[in-house]
Amino acid sequence: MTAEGAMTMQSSGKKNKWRWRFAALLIAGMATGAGLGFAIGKLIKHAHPATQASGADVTALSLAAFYIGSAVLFLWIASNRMRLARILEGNAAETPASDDEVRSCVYQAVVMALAGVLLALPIFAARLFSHNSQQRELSFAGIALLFAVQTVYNVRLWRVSDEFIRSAMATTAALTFAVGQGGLFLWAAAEHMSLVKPVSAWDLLLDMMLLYIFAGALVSVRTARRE
Amino acid sequence: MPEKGKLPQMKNKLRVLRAERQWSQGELSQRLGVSRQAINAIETEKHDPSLDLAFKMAALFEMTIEQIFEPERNASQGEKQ
Repeated sequence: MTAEGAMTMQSSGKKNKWRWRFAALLIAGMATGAGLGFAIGKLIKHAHPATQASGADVTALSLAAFYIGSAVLFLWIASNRMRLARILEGNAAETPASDDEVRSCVYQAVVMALAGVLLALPIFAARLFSHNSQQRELSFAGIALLFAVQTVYNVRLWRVSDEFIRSAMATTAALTFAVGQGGLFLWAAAEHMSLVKPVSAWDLLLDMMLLYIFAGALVSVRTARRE
Repeated sequence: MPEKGKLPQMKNKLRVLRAERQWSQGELSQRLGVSRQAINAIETEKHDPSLDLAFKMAALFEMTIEQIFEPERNASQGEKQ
């Protein structure tokens, strides 16, 4: 048996354990996010019976809860360098995570947390300040500012990433665009021919975010660790 | 030849070279200045490194790029022979 074979056999069981643990945490996070978003949507509906919490808003709140939950998970992972190293390399990891690896994990957490906040804010602002346009404008300015901060962190994340991570990001974006523009074209054509109801920009954004998550998951699975 | 519709992928000896030196993926990633995920993806031939990274690997292992990487068509021709 080669040194390589022995090394792989010894570590593969432990690596799988860590991978399963991470996958279980992620699935639990998604389920909790969906449940929490649905509960918040119901709460809004209960607090403001006059304003219906639309399906899009419930979806947005579910996504927001998922993003914020994932951000907490990523921060917890980044808080221990050996824990992060094990997530990245499996239990065979001997060297703790480098500064760049920690930075990348923290930036991802910040981007996800801000994405969650940005998805939830317009829903709450629209309902809380429904009769005050000045407060709505002020809220929008706050949202635009947060979006600028998120963009800065997205750029930082890109800069701290290596060629492989950048390639995964670019593939995810390309896949989202390819499928998204196809779907958008078909919907727009059908809408123009009065075959389907018009959709709002908010609905389109949420569809794109969902598509982006699925594209990201698909790219991750295709490039996932394999011994 | 690669399957129809699939991009040609490089074959490489990275995992063997790393194991010979008893380096972990983390150690190699630090020596090359890339992520552990990148090392894993190259070893499992899911990602072809850039020319710049290939040269860094060649310098690190004191080999030529051709000694580490081989185009899939050459590898499959070798198998047939």
